[in-house]
Amino acid sequence: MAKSKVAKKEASALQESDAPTAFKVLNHSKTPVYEEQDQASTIDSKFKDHCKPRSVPDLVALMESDKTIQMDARVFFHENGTGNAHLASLNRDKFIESFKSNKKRTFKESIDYFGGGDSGGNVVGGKDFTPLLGGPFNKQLYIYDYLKMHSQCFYAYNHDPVLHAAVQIIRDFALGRDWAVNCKNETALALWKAFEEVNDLRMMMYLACEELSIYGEIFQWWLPNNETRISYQVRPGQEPPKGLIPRVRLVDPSVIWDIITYPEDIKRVLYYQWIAPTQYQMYAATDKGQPVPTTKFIYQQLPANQVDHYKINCRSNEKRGRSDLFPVLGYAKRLRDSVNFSIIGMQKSTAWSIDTSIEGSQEDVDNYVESQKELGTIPNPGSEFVHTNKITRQYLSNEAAGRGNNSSAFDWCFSMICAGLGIPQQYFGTHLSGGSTRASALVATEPVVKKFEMRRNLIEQILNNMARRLFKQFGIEAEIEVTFPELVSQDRSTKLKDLAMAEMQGWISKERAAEIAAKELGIMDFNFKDEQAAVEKSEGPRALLANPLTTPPQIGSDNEEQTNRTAVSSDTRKDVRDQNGF
Amino acid sequence: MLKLNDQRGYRKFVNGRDEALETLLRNSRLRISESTSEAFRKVLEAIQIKYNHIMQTSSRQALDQLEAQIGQLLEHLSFIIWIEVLELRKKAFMLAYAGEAQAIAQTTAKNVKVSIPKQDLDLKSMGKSLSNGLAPMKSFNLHFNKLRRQIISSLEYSFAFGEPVEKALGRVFLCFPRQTILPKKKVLKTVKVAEAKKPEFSAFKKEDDSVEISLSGRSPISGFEWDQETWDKAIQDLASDHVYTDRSPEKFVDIKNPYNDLPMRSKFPEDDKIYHWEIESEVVQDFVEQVRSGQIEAAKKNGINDFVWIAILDDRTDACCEWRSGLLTSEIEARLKTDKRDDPCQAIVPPAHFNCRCTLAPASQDLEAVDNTDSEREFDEWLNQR
Repeated sequence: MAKSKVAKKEASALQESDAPTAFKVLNHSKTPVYEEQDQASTIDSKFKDHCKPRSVPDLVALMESDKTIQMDARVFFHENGTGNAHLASLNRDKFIESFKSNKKRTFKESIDYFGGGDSGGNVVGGKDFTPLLGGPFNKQLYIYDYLKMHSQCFYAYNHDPVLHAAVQIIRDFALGRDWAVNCKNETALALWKAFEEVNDLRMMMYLACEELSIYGEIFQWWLPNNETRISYQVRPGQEPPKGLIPRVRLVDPSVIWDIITYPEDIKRVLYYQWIAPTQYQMYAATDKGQPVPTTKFIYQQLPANQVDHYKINCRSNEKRGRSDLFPVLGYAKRLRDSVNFSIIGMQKSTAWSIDTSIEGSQEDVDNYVESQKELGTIPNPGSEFVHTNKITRQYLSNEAAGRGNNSSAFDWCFSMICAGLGIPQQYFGTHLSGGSTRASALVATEPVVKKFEMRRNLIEQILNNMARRLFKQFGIEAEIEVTFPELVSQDRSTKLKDLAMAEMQGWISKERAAEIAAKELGIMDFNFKDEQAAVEKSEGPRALLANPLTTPPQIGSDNEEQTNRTAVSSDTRKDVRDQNGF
Repeated sequence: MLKLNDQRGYRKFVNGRDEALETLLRNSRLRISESTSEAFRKVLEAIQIKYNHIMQTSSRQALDQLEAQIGQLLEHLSFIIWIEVLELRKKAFMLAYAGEAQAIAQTTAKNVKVSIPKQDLDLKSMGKSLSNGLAPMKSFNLHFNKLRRQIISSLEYSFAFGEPVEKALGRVFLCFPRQTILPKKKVLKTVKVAEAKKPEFSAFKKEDDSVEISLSGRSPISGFEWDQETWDKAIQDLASDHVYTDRSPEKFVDIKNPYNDLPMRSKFPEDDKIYHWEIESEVVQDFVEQVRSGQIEAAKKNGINDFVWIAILDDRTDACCEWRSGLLTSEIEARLKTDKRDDPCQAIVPPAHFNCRCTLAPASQDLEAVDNTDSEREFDEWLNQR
């Protein structure tokens, strides 16, 4: 007898061609629909080599080629315009009729569904559609799509291990161990240090770097009127304290509903429209003798000159940025699914059962069943079964399910994610990370270094812009110099050897060689003179005096007062000067 | 209270004397440097000869023999340096003593006494410890033992990694103290010494080894006991401008830098070089102590027991020298018993520490300054008087 196989169609979608919004259809046929081997001759030649239909038209063609194939499909319809959705049950004939009768309707496989709601396709909110009459400024995420992206990327960062790791990898490489800020103007440097401290800048940049990846943009709000806290419609007396050093806060991009600009120029920003309810608190409190509301609804416009807006992954015409995770959200969903399915497959493959044959009457079978009930479903280890030769027990494993453990879907999805993020597979530490040679790892590293350098440049630009704004506010003309640790260490030994050779040949000075070497070794606060003094001190022998008895006072002493107090009288100094012809 | 450093004539004379003393020191330092270079070269040659044999046989016994040989070479060097230090001590003490006596004599018109018998000088020089409290030979040997251990450790490393002999020599070479230039001093006026090698004193012989000399008509010296042999050596050393012979090992032995495979070359091929290490510091410190000791003894012999501490005040001056500056030694002594009781430096006379630039000058209530501008002589003039 030929073995029949249940064909399971995962999901498909029916979509009207003029409707931008997709909808999901779950099509699950339970009856045997076609013979895999024996009836292959009855199937259209198109399916001879591969009996599994891969699209809705394939499915329809398959059903048309074999009248024995039945279908019980449950389809979600989503009506354009009204937005109403309803469930319909379609059998074979109705399904084919629906497919053919209305040319405006098409089935669409919702294989790009990534768990974020009712969207289809591999883009958030459907197609990136650019109507000709809309102009280039429409070629961007509209606010709903933007918020959808925001939501899904936030979800992905928190729930998807690979994307979570990706964001952290980008952050770790972009910021490095830490950055160092230097400035030739000591007053400016002191001001910057104070600014760093009051704003907890290290933590802010840590978060900013992550949020930039997740949300695709950040908003830095320079609080107005020297305020040190964010305030909105507070009661008299509850105004936040003021501080001399300006405070900067990150504003969640999702609360900025619009960036109000001149229509013809998106760079000529007027206001940032902030609309959002605040947190809801269960308990209320008072401050300065007056109650503080448990919640507020913020509706305000932040003037453009109070906000620094940085966005990534967008084109020149786009107002809002896009997440680093944006292109891979769909594949991340598939990757998670592939893992889940594989685990379920593995779970099934470990299932087993007992095939028991009893040579006897129905009564014997019933007696046997009754006797086995006492033992429970799974016999304890070491259980002993006592029976006559009339009973035969055979343990069966789930051999068929074992074949479902195929990881190629994981590999493909993972490759797509890595390609979309621009991060090599080796960086994620999965089972696909091993097996590469040092050479291949280095080659794989080259493009990603450029990517991280770009992100680091942006971080540097953010810091520089903040410093410029700060110094301008205090009337100081200065620039900071931001130094990051090297992204990828080169072969340091060889480099240091080259450095030693260059210094020995007299091509570069000892000081320059020392400074380069210090950078190579990751010493951020290297000062040649101080280091030399320390070396002299630590080497054991003291600095040697050539003339221990007649060494004159150090010329150009910083401490004139001290120098004047020398016991060497001025007459002697005069003699020395005269006789040396100074 | 007359402080002699207030007298122009005293300062000029003492300055000339100090320059002459520094010439002695300089010559000694260069000789020590030459001997050290020579010893280091021999060490490298010994390693060069035995390295391949030890490498092939992996014989610990052969390495031990090499270590013993290196130890002998360094011990010999230690002895050479000790002899040089001994001679320098005597010469420095004598010249400082005599110069101070003459400076006092011509500044105050006082009849000064000078007593430097040979036996005393020998005993003082031989028995004196270095500033670290150790006998010189013991102190030098400690440094050489440390160096020997470093050499053997570097050789063991080279054997372990199978390095060629040039690299192994480079590794040993890097264990040696580094060389630095000993700059030639731009002196105010070079002290010239006549061919006679000793000044003609109007003196009469008192004993075989001591003479009583009148250094000048106006300030006759009485009771002069004199070590003529040491004096002759000092004068000879002053008269001969020592020409430094560069015997740096890298000039004679093929050495490669183990870190970049480049041949090792001297950084200062044309200059006078000394080694920058503890022994060099100790020799200089010891010399300064001898000079101050000579000054003090000369003054005390003539009844001057107080001295003024003269520090060179600039931004390199130590705190301990700063507060002492301008004070009399009696005042310093008193303060060290009172408000400066806890001062880590308890020195009453300089040098207070390594590289101390402080000096001292006699001071006394009993002294009277005289105006002898016409007759006062400079140091070289006094040295060359006939």
